[in-house]
Amino acid sequence: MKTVARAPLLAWLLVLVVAGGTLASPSAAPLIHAVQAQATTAYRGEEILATWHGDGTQVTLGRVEHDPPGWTWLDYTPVGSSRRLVVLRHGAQEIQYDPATRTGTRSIRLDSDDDAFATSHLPWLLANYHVTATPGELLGRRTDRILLSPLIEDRPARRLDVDQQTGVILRSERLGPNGRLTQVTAFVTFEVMPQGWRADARLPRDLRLVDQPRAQRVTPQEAVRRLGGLPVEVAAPPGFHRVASYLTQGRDSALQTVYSDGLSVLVLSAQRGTLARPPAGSRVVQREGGPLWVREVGGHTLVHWAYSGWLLTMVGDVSADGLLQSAERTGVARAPRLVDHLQAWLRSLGVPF
Amino acid sequence: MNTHPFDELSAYVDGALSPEDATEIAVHLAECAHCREVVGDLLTVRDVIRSVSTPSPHPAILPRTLARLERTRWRAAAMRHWWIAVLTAAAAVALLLQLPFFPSPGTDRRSGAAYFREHAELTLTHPMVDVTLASYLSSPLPYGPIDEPAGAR
Repeated sequence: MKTVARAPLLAWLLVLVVAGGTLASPSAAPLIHAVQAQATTAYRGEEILATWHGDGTQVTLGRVEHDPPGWTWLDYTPVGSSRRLVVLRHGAQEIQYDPATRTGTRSIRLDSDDDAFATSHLPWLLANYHVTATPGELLGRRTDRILLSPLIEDRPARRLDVDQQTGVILRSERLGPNGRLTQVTAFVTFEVMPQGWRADARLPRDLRLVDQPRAQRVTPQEAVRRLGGLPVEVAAPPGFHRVASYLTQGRDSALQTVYSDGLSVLVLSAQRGTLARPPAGSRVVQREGGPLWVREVGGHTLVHWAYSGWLLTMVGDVSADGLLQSAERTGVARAPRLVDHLQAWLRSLGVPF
Repeated sequence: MNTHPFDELSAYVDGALSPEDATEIAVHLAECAHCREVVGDLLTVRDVIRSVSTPSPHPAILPRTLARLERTRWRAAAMRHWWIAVLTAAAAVALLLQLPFFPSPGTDRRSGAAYFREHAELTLTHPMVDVTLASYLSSPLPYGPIDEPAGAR
């Protein structure tokens, strides 16, 4: 979602890709239309999000104003919270604040790489998912109903209703194993607006904002320089490709590497260290190589383990088994022993060990 | 007996000879004035020694000596036991240090939430993620990311 100026480029790419026969199925065209629409279509509406998981059902209603490239306004109540929240994207800034207290955070938005969709993400998506499109109708509008069925069973399927006129995704469903619905995001009202309809929008006054440190995109060379070496090569689940790396600021620098299978994202966080610090709520899983810690939240899985002087955490829309296999293929350090704890403690005291 | 039995005179005086040897010495003494003189000297020396009173040992010396011997024996045993204890303790510590000791997950739920939030934030960089609610809630955190205090990451 960068600028409208990218839309023609994207359209040309679409033409080139289609002409080159890369797209095995014309059902992929609505996907490109959907990506393109984010930077070109202005609209407003109300959107509902429902999730089903172990704890039951959670529903959230939000209002959206979108006027690319400069303005996106989202007013919603986060799942599991009673507090309203406003998210504003104004230029490169992203502000999240509580309208009741007028306090929040401000950060620089990480860019998405829309141009890479047709050239990189779409081929990956077509290699990892079976894509079918059928005509549909939603909110009185004609849609392309796209079903993305994974060819590998460790990740969910998606069903998207893409507005034929604008390319906006009017409804998105995530389907777990056995076709069970786990999440729905859907507009309940939707209105296309003229471009620039919020051009005069200004940030609210009197907000008390704290600047939020954000991850910084780095090249492998920079990562080596800042971390004193690159983390181990992780065997990502089949079909996932490395997209970019980000370095977090702060005392304990961590390198976040983003992988994509064309549709969903897997994030690997790597930090120097030998002693696993399992995240809250995770459970230990014993494997031949050593212990790993697993946590699942709403269909997303976290796997945490130590290997070769690095602490690794993988989070993604992949099953626990899928991530565990990936971790095992990478390598798992043996169970930490009391002497390892002792050494770590001595090192924390500055005693060279 | 033609020669003087000087070596046996002292034993003769002490009565330590066999009856046959003692008879032979007595026959020689009857004939030899020189040896009689030597025997006389020996008897004088013996009488002098006998006349000197022998001091009796202090009555406490025996128990004291026995106690000292006992202490020495106990110290040696204690040292042996001490070394066994030290070596056993060292072996136990070495074994204990090799025991697997799994870290427990933190009780602070933010540490778990932080990873999911980072995932949600980086998911926003994916071109397929639409701009609206799904962008923020596609990772359905059971606790809103904003519920965390600023800088808690």
